[in-house]
Amino acid sequence: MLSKTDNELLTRVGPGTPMGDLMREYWVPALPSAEFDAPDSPPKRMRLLGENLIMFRDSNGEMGCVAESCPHRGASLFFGRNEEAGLRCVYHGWKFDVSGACVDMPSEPAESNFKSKVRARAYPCRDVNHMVWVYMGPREVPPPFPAFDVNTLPPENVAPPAIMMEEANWFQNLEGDTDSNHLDYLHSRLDAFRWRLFDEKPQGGSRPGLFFTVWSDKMPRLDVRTTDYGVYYSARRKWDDEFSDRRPGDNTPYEWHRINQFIFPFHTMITGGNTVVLRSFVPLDDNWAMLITQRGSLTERMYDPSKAFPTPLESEVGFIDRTSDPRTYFMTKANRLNDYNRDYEVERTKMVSGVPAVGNLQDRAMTELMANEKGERIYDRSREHLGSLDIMCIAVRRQVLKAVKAYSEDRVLPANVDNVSLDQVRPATVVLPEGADWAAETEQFRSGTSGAPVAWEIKPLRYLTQAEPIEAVGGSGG
Amino acid sequence: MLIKEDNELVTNVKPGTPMGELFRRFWLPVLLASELPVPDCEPVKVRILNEDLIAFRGTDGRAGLIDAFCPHRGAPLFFGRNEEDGLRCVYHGWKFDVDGNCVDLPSAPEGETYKQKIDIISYPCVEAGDLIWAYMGPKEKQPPFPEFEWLSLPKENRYVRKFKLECNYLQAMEGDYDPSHARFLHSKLEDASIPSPLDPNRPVGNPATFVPTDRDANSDPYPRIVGNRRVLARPMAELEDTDSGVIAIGAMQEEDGKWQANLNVTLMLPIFCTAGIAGPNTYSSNMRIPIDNESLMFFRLRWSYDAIPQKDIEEYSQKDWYYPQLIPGTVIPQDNVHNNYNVNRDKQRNENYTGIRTFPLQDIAMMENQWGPIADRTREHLTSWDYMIIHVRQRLLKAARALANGVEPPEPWHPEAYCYRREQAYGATREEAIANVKAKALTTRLGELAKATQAR
Repeated sequence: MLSKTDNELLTRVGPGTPMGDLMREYWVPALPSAEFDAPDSPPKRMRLLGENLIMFRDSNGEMGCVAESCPHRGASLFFGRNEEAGLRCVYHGWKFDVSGACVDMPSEPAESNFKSKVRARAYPCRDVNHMVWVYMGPREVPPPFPAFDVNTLPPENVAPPAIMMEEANWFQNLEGDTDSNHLDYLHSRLDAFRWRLFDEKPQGGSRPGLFFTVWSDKMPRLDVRTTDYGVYYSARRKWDDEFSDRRPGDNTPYEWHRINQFIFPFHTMITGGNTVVLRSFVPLDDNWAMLITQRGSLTERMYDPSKAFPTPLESEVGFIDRTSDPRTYFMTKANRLNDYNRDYEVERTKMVSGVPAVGNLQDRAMTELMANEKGERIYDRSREHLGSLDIMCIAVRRQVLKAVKAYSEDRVLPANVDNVSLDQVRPATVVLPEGADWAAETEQFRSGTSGAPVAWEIKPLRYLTQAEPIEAVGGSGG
Repeated sequence: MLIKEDNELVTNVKPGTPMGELFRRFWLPVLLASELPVPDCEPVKVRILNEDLIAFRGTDGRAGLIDAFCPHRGAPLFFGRNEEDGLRCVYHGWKFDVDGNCVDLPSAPEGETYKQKIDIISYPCVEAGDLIWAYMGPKEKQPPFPEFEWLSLPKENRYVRKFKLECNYLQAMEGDYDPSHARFLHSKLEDASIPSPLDPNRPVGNPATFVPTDRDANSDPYPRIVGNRRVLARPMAELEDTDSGVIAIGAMQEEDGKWQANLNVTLMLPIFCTAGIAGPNTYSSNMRIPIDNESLMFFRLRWSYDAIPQKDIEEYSQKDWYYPQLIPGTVIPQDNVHNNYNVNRDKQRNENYTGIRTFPLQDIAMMENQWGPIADRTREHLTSWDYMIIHVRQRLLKAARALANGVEPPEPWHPEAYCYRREQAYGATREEAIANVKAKALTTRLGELAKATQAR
């Protein structure tokens, strides 16, 4: 539970708000590079942190991001001509380059130097690994670029971003990523759920992947660690013999740890699969946000230019026809207005929720209906009732509020604004003997610089790191 | 640029505000006369200056404009029965005539005496020039009717239509006296080499208007405009305040030594502008009446001393070069803010400057979103070519402030000064040419016209 004041502080991101100011100190991922497929391609509307923007790729291939309204008399630069290394307002021909400099003002006499006095509000862009990032903050020289794995891997090892538009405040969307326990319910297979609740053992086997994994433990134990860059935690559950390949002769009781990261200001890393990942909950404004998921592989090629656009999610869920309004970008056809295409037959026979288990759709069915008394899709945390499994949520809120207050009151920024090596972390899935020191055991796997592979398999870590006995190989090969 | 307080002052026309009260000192167009086609026709909803009203025509043919809500308990009079010289609320049968008198109150025994005490908001209406006009100010301040020359012309000399725009009236008006935008916004790419009329090195000749050239209306809906996209000169026309508003006069010497003066009407208070491409004998009048602070109804008129040719009428009503095509049954343009005016980026790259089809839509695309529906003029960067915009704002602000301090605006009391039209005249000296053009622009040609008609 939060006071109304703290809730406002946490959720509001417009210009001049404390949280908005903090986010503006960071590089913000905005749109996939493929949205701007060629130099001088049509400019697009974007909205970030409550500001209406126009993004464009100029003749040199440079990305530009400017305030939508022309500084002359406020006409929309959306209609601007993108040509000859700049965006030209069609009202009176004023032209701005990607730096915001007014490079031509043909409506003024030649002897006038007025153009040197006028600037468009422009934000520096970086186009890295298929994603365009924007810096909307006050510094003349932007801070160093975030060193997440997905930004530092070779481009061909990083998939194009998968994006879902979410019709709710950014933070309530993000809180789902800090809440391990909802996996036991919302995203669960129905047979696994009945096993946990009613002790009915499932018939079918398990297969890899979160939505399809079967487990019996209904109460994960959480262990939270705060850091300079945010928070990470382990949620550990009993490792079930029934659906695992236990080696003959091994009687150790094991626990399955899911170790996830929260990184200032709005990123998470959620374990699952043999990839490195970054999930960014990027606010368009207080009521709308994107979930941008970027995945990379340390070993495999993941980028196929022929499939760069549309974003990967589109083929799975379908996006509505878009307009130039950014709120229609990446908006799934299954959405709040059609109850997310909830399928009652699936709900009766297969899954706990009949909302399709794609991307964050089931999560959105939960978070997009949370509203405050004004009807804004901003959850009112002064009315909630938190339980013992919400300690990660609480830790993340505390860290964020602490960071917001430190910045708004003392102008102290979180360490990862300037020390981007702090971004070089990873999530992990490991199976360890009961009582193991999970933080110590996974230190190398939580580091992006240790050279360790991604820890993702739900089998005892010692099976993965120790040579397999020859007889056991024969046994499991059958 | 304006400070925040002035921007709010000049854009806010709600009742009781300085600008709202200033508007309420003038006769204003509220409806096309054709919207009330016959006596006792269906009542029509009207929203003007943030007020919800109902217009109807009585049995005697007179138009009335009254509050949209019955003074009894606020029921909507839109559903009223319009019959026997009055509009009768269907909730309890109260009836009001076009002058706002409660003429029947049948729902209670005390009705006969009580009805005399019932006041409903009602505004006097006049039907003129195919429009219904209303005066929405205090009764004792009602001015004479403005003497627009086109009001007295035969019906076939006029063409008028209305459509709705989603922005404040002022930014929509400001496009009309923004001389530098046309050669950018309205230009066609291939014409960039043709010298601009405002280029000091242009061939000597009439610099008055941008003229559409070579247009094949059937095959090419994209208008073209003459002129390169570069302004090399300082503004030439000088502004002058008149009894009704502001005029702009430019003078230049011809090769033979004679002086030519051109006069354009920048604005007649509070909303009468004259921009728009029109033929040599055709004039335009743009009347943008605020619906509320964030939307307006645009009455766009073409008029001429001759009957408007049938081919022009067809052009106005069926093509969209002068008037945007509307969604059938509405006053909303088909290409509008919700579909980005159907901007075509391929056309923008290869054919015209905007990729938007027609002149009016190109303007509308700019004006409907200047930092939103109400332009934030604190953030502007104005140039020397914005001098008309600056001048008119100051004139409007001055009048609104004066009225707030109890000084009535003089403009409504100069009906003769609303006869100004665009003109051209010559003289031996600059001064003489300017004096001639001013006199000519104010001289009604109706007498001449009557003589010509008789001679025929």
